[in-house]
Amino acid sequence: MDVPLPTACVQAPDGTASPSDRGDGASASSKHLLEIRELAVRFRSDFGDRTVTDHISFHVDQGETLGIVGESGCGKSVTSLAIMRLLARNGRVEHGQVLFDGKDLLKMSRTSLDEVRGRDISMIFQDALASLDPVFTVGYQVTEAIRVHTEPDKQKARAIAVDMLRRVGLPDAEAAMKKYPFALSGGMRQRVMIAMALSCSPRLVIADEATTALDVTIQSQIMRMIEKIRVENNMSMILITHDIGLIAEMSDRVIVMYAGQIVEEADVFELFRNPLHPYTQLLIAATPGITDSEDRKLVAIRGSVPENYSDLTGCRFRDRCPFATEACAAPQAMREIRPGHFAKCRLAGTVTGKEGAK
Amino acid sequence: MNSTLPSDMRNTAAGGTAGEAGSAEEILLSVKDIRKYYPVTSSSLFPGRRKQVHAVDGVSFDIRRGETLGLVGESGCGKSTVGRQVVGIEQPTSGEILFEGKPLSGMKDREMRRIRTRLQMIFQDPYAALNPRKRVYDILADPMLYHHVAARSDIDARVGQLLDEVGLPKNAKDRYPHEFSGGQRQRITIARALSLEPQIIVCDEPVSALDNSIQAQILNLLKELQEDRGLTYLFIAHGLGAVHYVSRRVAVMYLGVIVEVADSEDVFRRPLHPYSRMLISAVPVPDPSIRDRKVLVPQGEVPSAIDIPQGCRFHDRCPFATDRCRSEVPVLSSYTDSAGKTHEVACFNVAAAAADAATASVAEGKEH
Repeated sequence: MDVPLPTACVQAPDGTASPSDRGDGASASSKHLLEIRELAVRFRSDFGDRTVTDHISFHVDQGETLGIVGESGCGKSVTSLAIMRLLARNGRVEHGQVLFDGKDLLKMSRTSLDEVRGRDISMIFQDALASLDPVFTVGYQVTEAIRVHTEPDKQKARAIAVDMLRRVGLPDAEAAMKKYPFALSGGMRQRVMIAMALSCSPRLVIADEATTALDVTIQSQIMRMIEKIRVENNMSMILITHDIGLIAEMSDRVIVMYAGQIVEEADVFELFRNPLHPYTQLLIAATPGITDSEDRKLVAIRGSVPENYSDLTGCRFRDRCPFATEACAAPQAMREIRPGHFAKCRLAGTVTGKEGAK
Repeated sequence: MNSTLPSDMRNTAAGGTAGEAGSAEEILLSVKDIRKYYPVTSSSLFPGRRKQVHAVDGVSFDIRRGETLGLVGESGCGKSTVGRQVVGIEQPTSGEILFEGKPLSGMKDREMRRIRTRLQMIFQDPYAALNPRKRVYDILADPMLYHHVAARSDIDARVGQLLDEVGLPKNAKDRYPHEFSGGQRQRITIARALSLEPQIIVCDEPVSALDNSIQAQILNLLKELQEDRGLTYLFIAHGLGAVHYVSRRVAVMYLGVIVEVADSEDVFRRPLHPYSRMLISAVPVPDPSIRDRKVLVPQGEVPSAIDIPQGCRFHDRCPFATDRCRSEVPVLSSYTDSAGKTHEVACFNVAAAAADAATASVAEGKEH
């Protein structure tokens, strides 16, 4: 496991490519399954460098579903890619640790990282067609993951794959094994990807907008299926989505992200009963629901998400916030307002979305 | 963002009667049994019988002046095709669309051109719908000049009014579409649709591509414009929350046909067709306290629109299907729900489905 790779293969996005897979001593105290500490990801572009996630910290416990909600461009997907060390070439982790089981994934060698990725942590992406290889059959791709990580024997791996495809709800799993991705519907492809992700019984699965492209009835089927398997295997999940309805249905604990920062964190019931950050309050007030009363008026949040937010000091929501004062231009700290309920707003706990609607 | 529009801008070309939204129960647009079949190109060397996609397979509905009809359904159910036929982008294979009682098909070119100004459309992707090489000024002015709805000397003022009406700054007219955010671009397409003083606007997924916080802005804008101008909307979307918010009546489509029509409140609270129930109960509700409710999880997927199932199109996914559903095609007929409201439903087993619904109500009794 400690064999150093030829350097050509080592492509650590953080540029450090350190071959130590033991993690560092400081992290041994971590009791969480996954702990992100002060993660800062910076992207290089023609228009200058941008810090996309600004020193964010959070954790996921064993068997827990953590929901990450935010609008496009808030850094939620970048966070998940950074955890998996899948950032594009122009992005790198500038600061921070990703501790999985106490080991820093960012400092791992490529070989030991490959042991973790796919087996202990796996990922479900939004676009299944782009994530599946068009020139290999479904069966080959699902079996490959199993053979690499858990069951080298071809026939046994195949049996596991068929079983997995059946569990994710492919009607004729044996026939589906022989098909190519293009021959399947969007929902079926997503199921195949989920089968791949869950085939090695990972301890953590990251679902990044996994059902966003699907119709609600298919989303409902797939989410229920993932939840069933998750509970059976005592798996942890990070559910990344912009759909606050899905967050409410699936999560145990929720992180709300805005412009690269975590602005609120709470238990799901607490968050929806008593949102503290004005952004969270307005996001809930801006979302139409099918059970709304007839006279409900949606609250529109003025303006739009800032495109380049890395140089903003102070509260990044203040331009759009109905409560903002000059004091909001100063950097805000994440405070624990109620037990287990954190918010990054100096007014948190003193304002409610209903006032903001006026 | 209350509109401070000069009153002479409102209803100028609205044909007189549109003063009050929905003042009369006058039917503005009537769709009668439209169908749209697309031929499927066969890749086989020996093509057999030509197959067809039955995108829309006999859809009828009326929209009254000043109301919003929501059209919902899953992707591929034909809802966008219906919208495109209404504005004349596509011609129905058969059936008729009547605008103010006059059939659109068989209309002379000149008359059609005049009618076109009355029927406008807002698309899902505002960036694709705007010419990237034109300034906003030209995007808004060109249609008005082409259709002679404003004199050249008035154009500047009209463009200014339109921008104001959709909540864009005056200086927006000198900029190009790429300089705007998604929400602002959608405001431009709305302004363009309004520039011709339409009576009915077909909104095809107008907020699906936008962020949550922006969706509410656009939905509120559409509602305000409707009140100010007495507009009529055909609102097509798969986001049921948005449809519920803007629509007075809702039609649920499945595989090319309408399976249920009723007032918006009634469809969402007490859906009668098994498919409507599944669709509505599958929507995630942003309230964790009811997340353990019983949900009707649909089985399987929507069948191909090439090989339409015999009988009721929904029978192989329906938990209430009987032999009759497999052989006979149900048509829309009136049923009364538990609250005494009338729904038009195409189903043989409304009673059985309703009895089941009574035990596992999804949206009932939940108010925000």
